[in-house]
Amino acid sequence: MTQALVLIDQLGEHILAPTQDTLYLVLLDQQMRQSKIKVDLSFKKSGVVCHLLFIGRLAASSSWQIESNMRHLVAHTSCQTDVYLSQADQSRVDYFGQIYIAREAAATKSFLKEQSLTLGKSTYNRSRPILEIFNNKVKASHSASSSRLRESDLFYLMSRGFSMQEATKILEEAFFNQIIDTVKSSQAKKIIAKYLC
Amino acid sequence: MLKIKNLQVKLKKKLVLDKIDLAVKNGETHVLMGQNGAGKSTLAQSIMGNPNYKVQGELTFAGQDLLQLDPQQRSALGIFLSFQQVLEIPGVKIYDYLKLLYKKSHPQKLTPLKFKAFLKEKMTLLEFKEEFLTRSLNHGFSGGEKKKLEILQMLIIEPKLIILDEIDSGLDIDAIQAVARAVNFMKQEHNSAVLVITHYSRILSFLKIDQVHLLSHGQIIKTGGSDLVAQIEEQGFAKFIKG
Amino acid sequence: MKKVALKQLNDAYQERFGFAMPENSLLSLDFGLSAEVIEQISSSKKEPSWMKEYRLSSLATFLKIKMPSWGPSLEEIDFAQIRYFIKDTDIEKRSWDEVPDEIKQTFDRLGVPQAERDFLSGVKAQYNSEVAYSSLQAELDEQGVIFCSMEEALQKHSELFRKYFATLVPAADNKFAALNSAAWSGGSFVYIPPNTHVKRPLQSYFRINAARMGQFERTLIIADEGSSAHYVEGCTAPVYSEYSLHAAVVEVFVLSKARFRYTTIQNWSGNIYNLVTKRAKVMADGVMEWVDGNLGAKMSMEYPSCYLVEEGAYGEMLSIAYAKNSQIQDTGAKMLHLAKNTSSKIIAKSVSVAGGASNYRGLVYIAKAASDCKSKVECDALILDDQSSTSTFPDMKISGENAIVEHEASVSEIEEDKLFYLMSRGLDKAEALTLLVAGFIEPIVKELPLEYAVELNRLIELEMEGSVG
Repeated sequence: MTQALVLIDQLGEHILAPTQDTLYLVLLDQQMRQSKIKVDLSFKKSGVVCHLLFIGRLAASSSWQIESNMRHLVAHTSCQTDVYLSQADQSRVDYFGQIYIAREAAATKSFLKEQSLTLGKSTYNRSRPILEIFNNKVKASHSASSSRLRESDLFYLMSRGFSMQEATKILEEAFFNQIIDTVKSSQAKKIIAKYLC
Repeated sequence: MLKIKNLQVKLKKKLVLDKIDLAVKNGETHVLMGQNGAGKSTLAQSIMGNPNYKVQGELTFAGQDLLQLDPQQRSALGIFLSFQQVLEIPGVKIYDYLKLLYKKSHPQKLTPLKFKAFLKEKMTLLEFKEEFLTRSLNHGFSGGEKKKLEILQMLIIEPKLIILDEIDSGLDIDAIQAVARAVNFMKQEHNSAVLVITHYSRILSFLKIDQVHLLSHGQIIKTGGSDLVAQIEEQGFAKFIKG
Repeated sequence: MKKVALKQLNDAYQERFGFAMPENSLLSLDFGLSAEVIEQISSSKKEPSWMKEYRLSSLATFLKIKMPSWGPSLEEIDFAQIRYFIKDTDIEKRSWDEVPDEIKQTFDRLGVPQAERDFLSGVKAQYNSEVAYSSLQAELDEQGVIFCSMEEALQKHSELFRKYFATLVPAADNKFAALNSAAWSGGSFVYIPPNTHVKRPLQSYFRINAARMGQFERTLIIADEGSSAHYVEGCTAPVYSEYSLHAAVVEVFVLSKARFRYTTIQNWSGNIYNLVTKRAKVMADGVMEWVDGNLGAKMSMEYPSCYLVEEGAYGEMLSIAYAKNSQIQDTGAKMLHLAKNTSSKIIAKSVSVAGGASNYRGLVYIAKAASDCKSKVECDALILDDQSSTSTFPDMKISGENAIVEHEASVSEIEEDKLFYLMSRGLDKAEALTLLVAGFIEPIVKELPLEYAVELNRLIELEMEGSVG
């Protein structure tokens, strides 16, 4: 199956039921002060493989509520959910991510990865990645991590001639590059590159 | 020229280096030897301005007080440190990174074609293949390759003072010779000053050495000429450290 | 006749081990909880009036607070039907025939001596323990360590007791803490003097106290500056109990530079609700380790927590949960970083089989003033069949600067090719399963005292045999 590309740029709730392999790309508006976005995927068709990708460069003093729900209701579906966020001064994020695998959903593969990069001061980050698994013949996992830029990385780059701001920018780009590398669609890569500029 | 007088360095209230006196003129190669834990890396990191260390005393380069400058400013003066622990920064493409490094250290721009030629020349010196330019900075590289990549960055930046922190650990003989070639190139073309920090002597046989300093428990206990290296090799550190 | 024998045993206990069972043989209490019942409990223990007042105000709190609005359903608990204080004589009513077969089989497999079986299953009220314990008591006395019952501590060490009691878990904390605060009975009091290191684990006497564990045990532990000790309670052998509700409270104070480990293995029989509030307060450079094994009970809810209140404090929680046959193990941990440079680690492993549900519920909280903190959480779940389930509900709230927080959870099953490999080397299915499950929980099991580790492995073997075929 070739992968379809769906760009989600509206806020609010998106309740979807994929019927083919799809990359759902959610780019969080960098100008927004306060926002809520929810993406709900119900897998009712066997054989579907999806990738849900949230990328957000959260502006200073912004406040975001982000929710993702993967509901695997039939056998043989797969999903990779990635949430990559960078947080500027005083920004707030509340992320709720759920993977639910029903009793009938054997051979499900579902993974969630949430990574937050704190760039500023006085930020708040709340993360609730949830797994509810009712079938044993599945592979499911989630990971969530939150960290600052490493001082040693900043020192290394500054010692090579970059200013603090430049070093920060390089490392922030490096952070997002890691996820871009996993995206196969060149069209999607272009859209993301434009968003990050 | 690098001038260090009565330098004292503390890490989290613990005294690591004390009463350090050292002067390296342009074109000279000095060696700092000592056992593990003597404080060699601390000196290298302090010269570069690692914020974790508290430094007191005199530390100047080209007449400028380094203690007033942050790492970027020290780099702009022409100081380069090859790190002992080379950090991986996945997601940063090597080619893009090297281009930026060149831009930072050279006021005159090069056309992309000219830069590529410049880069190729340096890569050949270190026996690097072109395909590695698309990889991530230090990510997925062996220890030896990371060290060579540090030296490649040195060749791009063209610094006036080169500090090599344990550059030869993890390198095979071919790589060591390649690194020595690169360092000698810098001395020849740019009259760079070199401070080699090591507890082995393998790379030293490929360089012309002006002075050797022995560091023990945070202080320089002996300074001598290049023959001091052979003496330490034969007799071991312990002989010099007693007393 | 029996009462005299009991009193003699009690006195002998007191003399040899320094603590005795609460005297209750003269009381006969009804079902349900009321101010009268509380007053009777307090007078029978000859408590000072402040404790009686505390119990009564906790009762009021209990009646006011609602049941928790989260977690598995506790609807079936009928507080009016619970006996809050049971006579020793009641326990003797059971005959060996009345003990469930499942329990008897487990005793067989674990090789539990008959005398212990009688005690654990409630057939006998008495048990003559081994001489080993009296030598432990002598060592402790020499070091100035206090290890006695809560009742005794209230009488003999009242100043110390009152200084710390209920300051970490107040009655208003949650409904079951309030219940415990009103009706508490039994439990251990431990005080380790400064810079004292207790080498041997302080055991609430392995099997003996296990069955004697009151339904509302209250434990209070103070590890003074620079001290270290290890407290162990519980039993891997199944324990049959009259009580259907165990609502215990444990408060641990780890003072500056002290190290304390609290290990619990719980294997209550399948009719029991095990609801425990365990909390530790950790001061500067102190280390607190919770090690938990939840194997039994109808439903177990416990989330040991660490309040890291001063710089350099460290909290750790290692847990194994085993859920089968419609058991619900709802466990986890809470790490509250309230000061800078604190760190925490949670490793939770669970196994769900034959319709069991094993859930992880955790919280990592990093306050605004708590800069430079680190926390790592790893939860691994093994589901062995399609009737069982597992859920993970972590919550990470980070406000402090420079925090590094990582959380990972994964679910897996026993891989067919690994089973095939082992069976092709001559192991039968049950043996292969045992090996693989044991390997899965090994990182936690290796932290348990040897006798628990050995028994736990044998228990797993038994379970695997039961689940195959």
